[in-house]
Amino acid sequence: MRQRAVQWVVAAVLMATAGAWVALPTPAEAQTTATQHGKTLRDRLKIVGSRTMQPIVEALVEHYTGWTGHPKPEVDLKGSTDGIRRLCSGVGPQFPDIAVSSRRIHHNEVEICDDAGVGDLIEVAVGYDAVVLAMRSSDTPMALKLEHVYRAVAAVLPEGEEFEPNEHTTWDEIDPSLPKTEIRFLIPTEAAGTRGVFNDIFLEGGCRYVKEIRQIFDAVDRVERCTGIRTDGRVTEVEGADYIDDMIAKLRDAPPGTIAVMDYDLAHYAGIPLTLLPIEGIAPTPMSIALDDYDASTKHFLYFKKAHMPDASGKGVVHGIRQMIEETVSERAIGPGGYVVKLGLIALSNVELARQRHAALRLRRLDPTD
Amino acid sequence: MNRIIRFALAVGLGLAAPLSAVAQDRGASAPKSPTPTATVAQSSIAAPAADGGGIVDSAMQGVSDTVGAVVSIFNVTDVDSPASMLSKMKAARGFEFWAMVADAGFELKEADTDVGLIPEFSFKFDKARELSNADRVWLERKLRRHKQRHGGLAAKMKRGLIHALLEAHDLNEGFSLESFDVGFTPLPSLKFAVAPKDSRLLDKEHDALYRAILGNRAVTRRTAAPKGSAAGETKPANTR
Repeated sequence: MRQRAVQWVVAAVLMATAGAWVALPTPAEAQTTATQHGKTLRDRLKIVGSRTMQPIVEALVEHYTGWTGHPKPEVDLKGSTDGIRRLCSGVGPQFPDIAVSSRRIHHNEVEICDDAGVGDLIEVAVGYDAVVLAMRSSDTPMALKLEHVYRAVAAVLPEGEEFEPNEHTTWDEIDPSLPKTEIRFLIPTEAAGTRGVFNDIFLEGGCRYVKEIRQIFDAVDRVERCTGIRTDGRVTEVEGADYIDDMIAKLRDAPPGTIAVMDYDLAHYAGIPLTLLPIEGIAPTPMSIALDDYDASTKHFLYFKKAHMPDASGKGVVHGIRQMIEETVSERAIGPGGYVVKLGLIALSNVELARQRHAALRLRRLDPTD
Repeated sequence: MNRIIRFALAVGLGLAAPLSAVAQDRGASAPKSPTPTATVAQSSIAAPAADGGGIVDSAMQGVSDTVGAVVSIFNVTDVDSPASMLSKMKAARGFEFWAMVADAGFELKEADTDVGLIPEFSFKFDKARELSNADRVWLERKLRRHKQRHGGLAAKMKRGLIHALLEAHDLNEGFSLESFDVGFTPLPSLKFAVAPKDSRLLDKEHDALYRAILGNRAVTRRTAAPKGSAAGETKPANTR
């Protein structure tokens, strides 16, 4: 009997704690938190990462500042890879608190984080997206395989026992079943997470089962041969702060058959009619992306640096990380019909949504093997 | 490293149960050579039978499922001539599981048979390539898809082995998994060999050697030798 009473008390305390986590505080409560900045080393959050996630970051910041009363975070988006690198550089007021990324953090990046003493990262997936190959609707569509893309884009291709410069000029030279259309690509630069996904899935994925590549033991050597892109003018890297707008503008004026590599959500805001090409027989649709059937489907993430959160006495690098986590996993943000979904991401499934909330609100450490 | 040790222990324990059942089957078909382990397992299963059927039935079912799982993982149900083994291997290599082992960076190097009163049979896999980040992500995606399509113990054990291989690629203590052996008879076993990362040949040298030996994967047939003898038995210094 006594044991049951104890169980009830513990359960009640846990429920009350969970409730406190999930419920967003009132502006007055948040203002109280905001006045504690004196104990922290910086008065506002610093957010870095993916440029393609800029609309999502802006929406999150607007809602976060609205209810917390905290100063507007400093946002500096130069790309997912750059953002993760800066997040993992160290602990202190000069380093960012949050990185947004259009791809998942890699194993070796987690190791770099650990080596720099960054410690626990909290990972929150905010929705599904995909990297797509888009053509103008007026061009002849193609059904491509990953290996086709690799053989079209790579700088060097295996020829016998050697690697020779890629001299394919039309698609039918790669596979006779493809049209006799000039090979032309517009791709983002290396700083973009979209490019990282393109390299990983289309280029490495396309060369993974090529015999001559498979015989190379060293991963670095293999990756260089697979992801090095040709420089003969058939592949154009689009760079600059507004590379997404530039990409659309360049695609509009490009020769027929040009393929642009972009995010699925952005393809819907292009302003020109586009055809999204199927890969390995599966077209990118909300369903195929959410079910992970489309090979280049991915998720967008936010990474929070736990080491920057204030301790029990209120001392730390910055206030507001916990509140930003709460805003990110709130129903109005990433729930079905939330503002993140309205900005173009595909909503997480209910199970995935619950899992993200559960892990994030308990500040669970990122597990790269999960 | 600890994860590997834990996995090896878990697999060892997992294989110990089916071992008894496999041995029992073998004992029935080959009456002269039941192993002592089979006797122990038989008595431990038979003893509670007198107390009640439910628990025993479920235990027997569990053992039976595990045997099925282990057998189905490697698609090997019996050990006979090396020729038939080769044909089974050839058929099995097309399966998704073998493809995943290859995607995890390991290639079948040897199928080792030992013909005698107690036949021995094992596969040896060597590390054929390092994994890039993209390789890991791709394999993890394949495992997720596999999990969605295939339920049951056998599929879970297959995924468990692939996960272990993935984790074992880069052990934090400066070691990496270089090869592993899967044995079926007389006792099911899984043996990992780890080595210091910096002991490897220069990569280009390794690549050249690997290309040279491709196609020369050996199936060795040996005559029966007393257990523990040195008949072709080479054991890495730091074998687990």
